Amino acid sequence: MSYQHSLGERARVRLAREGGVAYMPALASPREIAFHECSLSQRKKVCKLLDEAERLKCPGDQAGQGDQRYFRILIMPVGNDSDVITLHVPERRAPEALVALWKSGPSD
Amino acid sequence: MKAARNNPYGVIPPHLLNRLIENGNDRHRRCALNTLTVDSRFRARTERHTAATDARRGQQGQPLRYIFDAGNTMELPGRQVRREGQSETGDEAVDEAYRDLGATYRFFWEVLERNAIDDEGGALVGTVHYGEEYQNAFWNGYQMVFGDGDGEIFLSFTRALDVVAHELAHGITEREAGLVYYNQPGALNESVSDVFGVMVAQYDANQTVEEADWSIGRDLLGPGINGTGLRSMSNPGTAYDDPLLGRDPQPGHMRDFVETNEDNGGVHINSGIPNRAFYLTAMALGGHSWERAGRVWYATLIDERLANDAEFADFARLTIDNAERLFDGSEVRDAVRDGWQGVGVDV
Repeated sequence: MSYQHSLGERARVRLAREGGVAYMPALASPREIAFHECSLSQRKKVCKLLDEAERLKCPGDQAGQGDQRYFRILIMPVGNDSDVITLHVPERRAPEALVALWKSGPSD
Repeated sequence: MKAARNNPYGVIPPHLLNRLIENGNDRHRRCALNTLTVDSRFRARTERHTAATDARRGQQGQPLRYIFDAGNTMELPGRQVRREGQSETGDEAVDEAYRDLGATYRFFWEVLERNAIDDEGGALVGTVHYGEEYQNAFWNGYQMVFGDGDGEIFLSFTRALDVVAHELAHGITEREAGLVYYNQPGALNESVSDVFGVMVAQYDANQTVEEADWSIGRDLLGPGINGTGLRSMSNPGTAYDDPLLGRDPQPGHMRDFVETNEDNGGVHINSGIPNRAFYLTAMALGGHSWERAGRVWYATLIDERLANDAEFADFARLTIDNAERLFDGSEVRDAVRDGWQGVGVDV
């Protein structure tokens, strides 16, 4: 499945960095990306990253094992809580572009 | 999987490929992920390191420590900077990691007769200066890794003996109970690490339960942070309350159990409940935590009856059973039972 072909304007993506030796709410810094607020180019880039995240993901019960950090990505194809897809990407596998998306949001 | 044209070593086995994806730099990761091949020099180095540390064994009662320096990159294990028997380097993080791994080894050997993580005298491998201002410490299934912190929120993670011991204990739990890292078994996994982390620090300082502060990571928070540590085992939920960190979310009783999909189902959140059960047990028994409460918890961790998906009540019942088995009379058993009941776990 490619997100580049399946996510439309209504889609939303939530991205947070979790895990670590302690859970500290303010450090997760969740970011939400609403596709209708993004340019076509930004959407394409986000979808490409989601496709990569699909290849890098691991099961939820392995993502944070031993206090390792991971990115938890919630993909909401129709913009609400129905049919939500969750991906866990270990920090050690995360591409720089995913970290940049979490830190700064979509870029052109 | 196909071998790359320029890779003279041919096909890479999956376990090594995963290791490269996880431990390599960006180029190695890209290479491993996109073409399923790797740079041959890096492969050789990884295999050399793995074979070397996996094969070595310390003498009984003697740790076998290897400290590496990642040089503020995220490549593991990094450059070896100190090994067993070598003198101090002058690098604070290196020498703290060396000392803390030694103190943790000493606790497990002297108190519980456990010979290192694998109980076979296997090497204790730690990497310091991981990443840039990296605010974490972790166990990755092979070794312990410590960041320098940013100096504002977190100081260097090697400063805290209990946190170093916490990470080493993850290695022991992985080899013994293998508690699944999600929901209640995950919270037990975290709690076991805190229990041994706090006991190692108390043993090192020769503190009684009354003298100890029952805080995890007291030395980690920066001077401007409003908090006393990462967690409080005596009063979960009170360790910090700061604009940069948020408020400590740990409950100390089952009535406040947090249902969440975050944090692997709240493993670092709900661990406050079994943490406090251990605290209550140790306080009821008095003296040194490791003499009775600690032995009961360790016997439970290595108990073959402990399933990897155990919930709080399963673990609690086994602690009561092990208390009866290890100690004559009813004092220890009753203290353990009361400890769990004190946090609302039905036993």
